[in-house]
Formats: sequence, structure tokens, C-alpha cells
Amino acid sequence: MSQENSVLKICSLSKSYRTASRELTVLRGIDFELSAGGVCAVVGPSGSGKTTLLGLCAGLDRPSEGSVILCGQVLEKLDEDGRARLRNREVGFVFQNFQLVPSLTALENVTIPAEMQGRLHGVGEAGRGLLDRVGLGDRLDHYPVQLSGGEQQRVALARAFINRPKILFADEPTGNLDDETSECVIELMFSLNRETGAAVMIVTHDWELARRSGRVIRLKSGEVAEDRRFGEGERGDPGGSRAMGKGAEKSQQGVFRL
Amino acid sequence: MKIRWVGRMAWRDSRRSRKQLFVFSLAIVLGVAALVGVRSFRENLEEEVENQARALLGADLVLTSRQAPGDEIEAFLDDIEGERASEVSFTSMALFPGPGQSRLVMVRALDGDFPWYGEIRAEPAGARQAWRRGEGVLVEKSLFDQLGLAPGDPVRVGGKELEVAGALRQVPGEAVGVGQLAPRIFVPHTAVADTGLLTAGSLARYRYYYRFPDETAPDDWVAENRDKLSGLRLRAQTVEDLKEDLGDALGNLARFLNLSGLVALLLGGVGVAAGVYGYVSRKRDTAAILRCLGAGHREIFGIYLLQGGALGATGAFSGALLGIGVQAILPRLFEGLLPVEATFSLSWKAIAEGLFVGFGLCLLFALWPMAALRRIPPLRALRASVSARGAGRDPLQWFIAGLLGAAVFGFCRAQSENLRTAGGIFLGLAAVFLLLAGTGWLMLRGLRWARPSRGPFAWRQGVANLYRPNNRTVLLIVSLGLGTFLIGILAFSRGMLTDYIRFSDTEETPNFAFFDIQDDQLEGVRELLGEFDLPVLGETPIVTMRIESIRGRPVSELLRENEVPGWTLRREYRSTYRRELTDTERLIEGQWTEEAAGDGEPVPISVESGLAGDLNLEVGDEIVWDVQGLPLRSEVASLREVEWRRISPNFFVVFPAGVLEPAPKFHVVVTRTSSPGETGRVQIEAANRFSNVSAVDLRMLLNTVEEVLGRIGFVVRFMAGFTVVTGLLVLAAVAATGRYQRRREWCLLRTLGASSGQISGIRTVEFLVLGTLAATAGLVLATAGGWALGRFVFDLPFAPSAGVMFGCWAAVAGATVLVGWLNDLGSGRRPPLEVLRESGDG
Repeated sequence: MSQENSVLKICSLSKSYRTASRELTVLRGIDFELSAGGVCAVVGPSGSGKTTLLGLCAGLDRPSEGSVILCGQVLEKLDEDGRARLRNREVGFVFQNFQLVPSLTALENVTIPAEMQGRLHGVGEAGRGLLDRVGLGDRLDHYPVQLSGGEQQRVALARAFINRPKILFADEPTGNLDDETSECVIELMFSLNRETGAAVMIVTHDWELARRSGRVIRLKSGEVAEDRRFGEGERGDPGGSRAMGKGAEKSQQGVFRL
Repeated sequence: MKIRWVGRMAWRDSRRSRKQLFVFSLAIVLGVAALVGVRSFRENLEEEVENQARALLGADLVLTSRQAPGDEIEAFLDDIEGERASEVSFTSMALFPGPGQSRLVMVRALDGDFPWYGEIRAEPAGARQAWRRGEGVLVEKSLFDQLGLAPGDPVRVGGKELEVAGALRQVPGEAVGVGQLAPRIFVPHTAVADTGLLTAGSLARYRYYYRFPDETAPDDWVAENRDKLSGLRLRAQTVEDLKEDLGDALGNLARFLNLSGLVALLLGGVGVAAGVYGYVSRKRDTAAILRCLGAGHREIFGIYLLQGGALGATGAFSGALLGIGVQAILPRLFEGLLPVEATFSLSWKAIAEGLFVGFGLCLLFALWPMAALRRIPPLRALRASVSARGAGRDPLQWFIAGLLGAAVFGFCRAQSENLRTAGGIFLGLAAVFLLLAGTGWLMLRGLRWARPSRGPFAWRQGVANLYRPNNRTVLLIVSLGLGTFLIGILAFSRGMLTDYIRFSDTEETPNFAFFDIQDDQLEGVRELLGEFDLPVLGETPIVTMRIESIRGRPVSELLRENEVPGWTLRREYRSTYRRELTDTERLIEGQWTEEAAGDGEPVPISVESGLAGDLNLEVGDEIVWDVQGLPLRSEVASLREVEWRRISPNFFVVFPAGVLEPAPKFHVVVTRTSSPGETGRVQIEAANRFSNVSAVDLRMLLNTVEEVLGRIGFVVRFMAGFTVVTGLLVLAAVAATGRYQRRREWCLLRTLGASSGQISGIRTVEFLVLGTLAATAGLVLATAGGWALGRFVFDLPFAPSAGVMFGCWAAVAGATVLVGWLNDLGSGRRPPLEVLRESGDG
């Protein structure tokens, strides 16, 4: 993969926390790269460091060692505000618990990242277009508490794409949704990925979602246990594997070893 | 920083919290209102003093003397260029045959056209002219009304019967209040001699008013004649002096009132901080999301800075509006206690100052907790457990705390005369806050330790709610306790003083006194008392004298050098002689002498310790007295502490027996009557037999003192009320922040099957116990303060009144329960799911 084509490059990334009695290493020597428009899923058991890795990749936290190059910028060289500006310009987010601002309407939630850049003209139209795209064109003025979980996640998805990001970070995007709603959100996410060319990094327990992403990085005890790419034919049938449900984490590892 | 976005975001983010933020801002409203009201009131008064300055004095120069004008003074007065008027005044009894009552009054006789600026006001129309023509007497309005007098009624002053011309309403430069202890009576100057009251040795005050030609500057004249004035013991007052005196008095008054405003404002500020703290804790997720989406920490801080600013501006603006109302009320509270009539006009300076101080303090108090949002890491959007980065407080928070401390100290400094006083006030405020917080904390710990393991569910749950995390119970105890403390200590002080007066009113204590009894009248007074079967509880001879020199230095020299207060040298001393100390005196230094040796050596005298301090006297110092023309050498042999508050004849200087007996003197005789009716009968009989003798009903004096204390107390209570209501507003603000948490808990309990009666019970118990804890903390401090006041200020035994304590508790606990109920009104009737869906970040 050429350097120019890469939106995310991770080199020898480690993260440790100092506790009262000892130093706890959560991630150790992680290396991988994600190209523009590419999709990868990070899987692993609870406590394996998935969310920590996502936080480091998105510049939400600082690594103890190693380096993160996001959209051509070395994150360690940027200060907090520099990283925030980079996130605003180039990054989109989808969270497990949606993370909408409760005091803002659906449309206002979607347009925040654009407004942050000082853009005012056309932002409303763009927001409305995106909400229309995710099927919420008639819920523009609704507040988060007036929306269901799936609807909130679709608003979050629309928000993630308002600035046409180069990369989308999704932390358990279907973790709080039922199967049917999850499918709808996944479909939307992948189609937006195709339409905008944004790379996607998904942290998930959901095997079906992981397999459909085409590349799976499996973490175990803070290290990359496996980095596997699936061919078109291997991405499986959504209906069949979804029946395993999201609680089938233990069996996922076996599937990955196939 | 993207200012437009920050502004827009601040507005949108506050959308669901504006009502709550408004409630927070209410906490400072009363503090700002007090500051604006008091400052405006002061500005108006100062403006009035400036406008009416000449009319306040009525003349360009007033000279005052305590001695009848001799040739030397007459010559000096005659030489002064300008128009002159003279006045003599003295206290005496006035008998009103119509209502059949007599009163101690201040008789004043004016000769000349004073006042040249302003006017003496009297009613009805024509009364003043009648008095000027020498055809009648003007009687102080309060006494006129009290006795139901009418023009034409007779009044007897000394040996002269006169006619009432009307009621005296105002004299330039004098507050109506000054006439309360001894109401003023203006008699024609030609009638003074006929009263027979003004004889050698009489206690009279002489005033000489001058109107200067335009080219003479009064202050320059006083400066040029300073030595002569000192030599003749004449006190001079010009318009500038009066303005300065009034300015000082108004300044002191305003400083006191402003301090109560500051206390209310600080308390409100703490309430704002507590309310905002709860608000901020629910905004952490929003801050993290915005950080995640690319907002910098400046933008995040900017959003909440704007909200804090709006909060401060709302509170300050509402406070300023209310302050205008306070300004309108204050003149009524002070009616009659001030020498100028306060008019009502808006003081933009006061409003601007109130807005600035209120806005600044509120913003700083709000920013202290809000600053924490600046450090919310974006990672929190992924993991709710992630808290602010770094250990300890944000340096910005320390900076804000420093600014707050400096602002409060600056305010204290502006209200004090010097740095030391400012430091004292600052530390005092801090100590009260800390003591209340400490008491509250200890009580809460005690409650937790002794938490009820049995008893009704509502009771256990209500008490447990008090030590729920983030409940701000200690803060509420401080805010409500401070108001209780102020009200409690006022009630205790008042109770202590009135108890003391009641205690004094026993069979042994005199309640009726005869003053100015001449030597040859003493026996007659004894007989009069005998006829009414009244005991003679004390007889005291009084000799008037003046200081001629101290340690060999003449008074004129001491006055010139201004080393000691002028009044101590100019005054006429009324001294007595006796063999023993009375029970209101205590020897603190030197030797008490019962009888003078009469060997030509200086007479050993005893001086009151306060006066000795003012005159820089020590045991062994020599004082030469002028006893009605004769010099008398004396030596300070002892210093006494005198309990001035006790109603009995007390003296600055006491001579031993064997020296002053031959000197011209008068006597005071005290007795005790059983009823006001008896007092009235004795007074009338005394007035008939001894026209110059004043027969004073001490009970009436005490009533008057109580009335004045009551009025001043009312002003203080009015200002303390600001603190109490602020405490309740703080409660409302803090309760508003805990509302969602409480609602969630109730929903949970409702879901588990709790009845609405149980929910109401929990709520009532929580606020009732909170009110009780706050009232207890305030009363503990008030009791300690009351004891300290009794011990060190009033020198009285302190016994806290159970009635006051119960009253304070009932008021505070009741108000707390009420505010708590109002805050949660309607929550119990809503379906649980509806509440749970709303109870997110708001």
C-alpha cells in the first residue's frame, strides 16, 4: 500500500496505564495500515484493547509508544486542539451509545461538525439531505429523546458524513440495536462508505458485521493475533450468520480461525 | 476560536436548561438588589446633603459653648462681622395642664433671624410666625401628637406659663430622631428669664449663628481664629464641617448596609457555584462529544463562559431592577433618623456598580465549576468512565478562585476605612462560612453514623437522601444556616438587652428621678416623696466644673495641639463626691480615697477609665479644675470602670468627701413609683412646687430607648432578611439541579411499587431534616456569637431563649420544606417512563 493512498498508519503502537500497584499494558506493538476507502473491523474479547486502539487511531488519546499517522498527519506532533481540528476536517464518528447532544434537534446534531468549521451557507441543506438519505427526512426537528435507538444511530451516521470525512471510526455501532435495526444501520454505513470513499474502521463484537467489512484485525491481550482479509466470496450471507447474534463472541474466534 | 459557532452552540445547548439557569441566577438577585439599593440611597443622600448643605446648617457659621457668655466671649462675638442670632437651650420639665402630664423636654430659645438658609417648619400655618412674635411655643410634633395638644393649650416651663402655638416639624440640620429622648420645645427668647430656670451653674448650651458677608469665607475665618476659639472654648462648625460629618456618618451607615448586601451576594454566589456544579456534571458528555467532533478546549470553555455570562447578566440585571425598589423602601425605614430628606432618583452609577459587581462575582462563581469542562477528554465519548485529565484542579480553576478571593477582598476594602478592617471583615466572613460548613459536616457525619435502621421506610429513605453523592447538603446547611445565624443573633441580642432592662425593673431599682434640685430644695423634695409614701433610693450631689489644665498644660494649648478629643476638654463636667464606690463601678487601678486630707495637697480623685484613655491620663497625673470660677488642684488617684448602661447616676469624675461640700451644687434624688399614674401625679405636684426641678420617668426613657433600638433593629433585620431569602433561593437552585436525580429515584421507587404517600413522605423528611440541620448549625453559631456578645460587648449574662430557637427552627425548616415541595411540584403524578426518558443530560 503506498503512503499516499493510506489514511491511517499505525506503527509499533503501545499504550500503558499506571495503576496504584503496577503498570498495565493495554496495547503492545500494534502495526497496521488502512487505505482510502478501505474497511476494517477490529474484533477481540472484552478487555483486549479494541476501544483503546480506536481512541488512539482517532487522536482521542495519546499512545505511550509508537506513532499514528492519520490522513498524513503525525498525531503525536499535534497538540489537543490540532488533533481536534484534524478530527473535525477528516474524521467521522459513530458510537455504540449514539452520543447525540440532547439539547439539539436531529438536524442541529448533524450540522454541528460543519458549523464548527465556520460554514453556515448550505449546511442546513446538506444536513437535511443526509437525514433524508438515512430515512429521517421527516424527523429534522426532533430531539434525541424523541427518537428510537436506531433513529438516533442513523442521525449519528448522518452527522459522521456531514464533513465528507476521509475516515469513519465506528465503536460498536450496532451494540445497542436489535438485529433488524442493526442491519439497516450497517447497510447505510457501507453504502455511505461506497458513495463517499471514506475509509471505515469498526470496533465490534458482531461477527457478521466484521466479516462483511472485508478485513478483520483480531486483538488478543493487547496484541494483533490475526490480520485477515476476506475475498468477495468469503464475506458470507448476512441473514445466516446474523442468527448467531451479538452475544456469540466466544464462537467468533473459532470462526476467524477457519 | 469560531465565535459565531460558540455563540450559537451556547444558545442551543442551554435550550433545555434555561429555566434552571434562571433559577441559579436568582440566587444573586437579592445581593445585587441590596448593593444597588444601598448605593443609590447613599448617592441620593449625598446629593441632598450637597444641595441642601447651607440649609442644613441654616447659617454660615455656628459657634457652640457650654458656658454662659462672659465679657470676653461677648466682646469676641461682637467683633465678628456679619448678622448674628443666639440660642440658649437646656433640659427641663414642661407641664401640660390640659392632658395633665409633664415631660422632660429640651427648651430652646432663639433670638435673631436664624435660619438664613432653609427654614424652621411648623404647623398649622401661622404657628411659626406666632412663635417668632413671642406669642407662643412650638412643641415637637411627636410630643404634640402624643399629648393631643392644640394651638392655644397652656404649657408651663419653669415658673412661666406659655401658650402652645403649634407643632415643630423640622429644624435645619437636625434629624427628627434627635428630639425623641428629650423632645424640643422652642420658646420665645423673651420668656427664658421668666422661667427662672437659667441660673448660675445651670446646664445650658449656648449657640451663636452667623451669616457672613459674601466676601467672607467661613472656613478661612475659622482657620484664622482657631486659637481664640480654643481659648474661649467655643466649638465652630461651618457648612463644610457639617458636610464632612454627615458624609462620615452616611459612609458608615452605607458600609454597614453594604456588608449585609455583600454577605447575601456571596451566599448567592456560592449557590450559583453549587447549582452550576450540578449542571456541569450533566454537561460532561456533551463536552466530550463536541471535543470528539473537533471542538477545541477554547471553544468548549467559550460555550460555557457565554452561558455563565448570561447567567450573571440575568441575575445582575434582575437584581438591579429590584435594587431600585429597595432604594424606594430604605428612606421609609430611616424616616426621622436622618438629617436630610432622601428623595428618590435613579443613580446610574449605583446601578452600573451593582451590575458590575453582581455580574463579575456571579460569572466567577459560575466559571469555577464550568472550567472543569475545558479538560473533559474526548475519549469520554467512548468510555463514560474516563474523567478529566491530570491530577488535581485545573490551573484555570485556581486562577478563578484567586480572582474570586481578590474580588471579595477588594469589595471588603472598598467598604472599610483601612486595610486592617478589610482584612478583619474578609477573615470574619471566611470564618463564619467555614464554621457553618464545619458544623454542617459534623452533623451530617453524626446523622450518617446514627442513621435509623428501623422506623418507617419514608423516614429512612428521606434521611439517606441527605448523604447521597452530589446532594450538596453541607452547602445547603451553610446557605440556610447563615440566614438563621444572622436572625438568631439579632433576636438573642435584642432579647439580652430587653431582659436586662426587665431585670433592672425590680423593687430595688429606681424608676423615677428628680434632677437639678438646689440645696435649699432638697428637704422639700424629701417631704414630697414622703407625702406620696415613696422611698428615697438615692441622693447624689452634683458640682459642675471644667478642666483648666492637665499636667500643667492649659486646656487652650491642649485644644490647639489637637492631641485629645475636643469634647473632653470643652465639656462641663458634672462631678460628685462620696466615700464609697457604687455597685455600678469597679476600681481597676490606683487607690480609692474616702475623704480628702485637707492639707493643701492636690485632691485625690477617681477618673472613669474610658475618659482617662481619651485624655491620656495615668494615676498620679495632675488636673486643675475650674469649679465655677475657683481653681481646684487634683491628682488622679484611681481609675474606675463604670457600667454606664445601668440606670443610676454615673460620673466621669468622683471626688472624695470633704472638698466639694461648700461648692454651689444641685442634687439628684431617685425613687420608685408603683405605676405610671402615680408617676404622673408626683410629676405634676413636683412641677407645681419646684419649677426648676426635672422629674423624669425613667420607664418612659427606657421605652423610648427600646423604640429607637427597635427601629434600628428593624433596619438590620430588613437587611438580614436578604440573606435569609437568598439562602432559600440557593436551596431552590441546588434543589433544581438535583431534581432529575430525585425524579429518577422516585420513578424507580414507583416502579417498585411505592405509593405516592411514601414518595411525599420521603420528600418531606428529606427537606425537614435538611432545614433542621441548617437551623441547628445557624443556631449553634448564633448561640456562640450571642454568648460572645454578652461576655465581651454587653457584659451581660447570656441565656438563649427557647422561644427564639423554636421560632428560628420552625421558620427555616418550614420554608425549606415549602421550597423543596415547590421545586418538585407535579413530579409525583407523572408516569415513570415519561420522567425516565426526560432525565438525561439537560
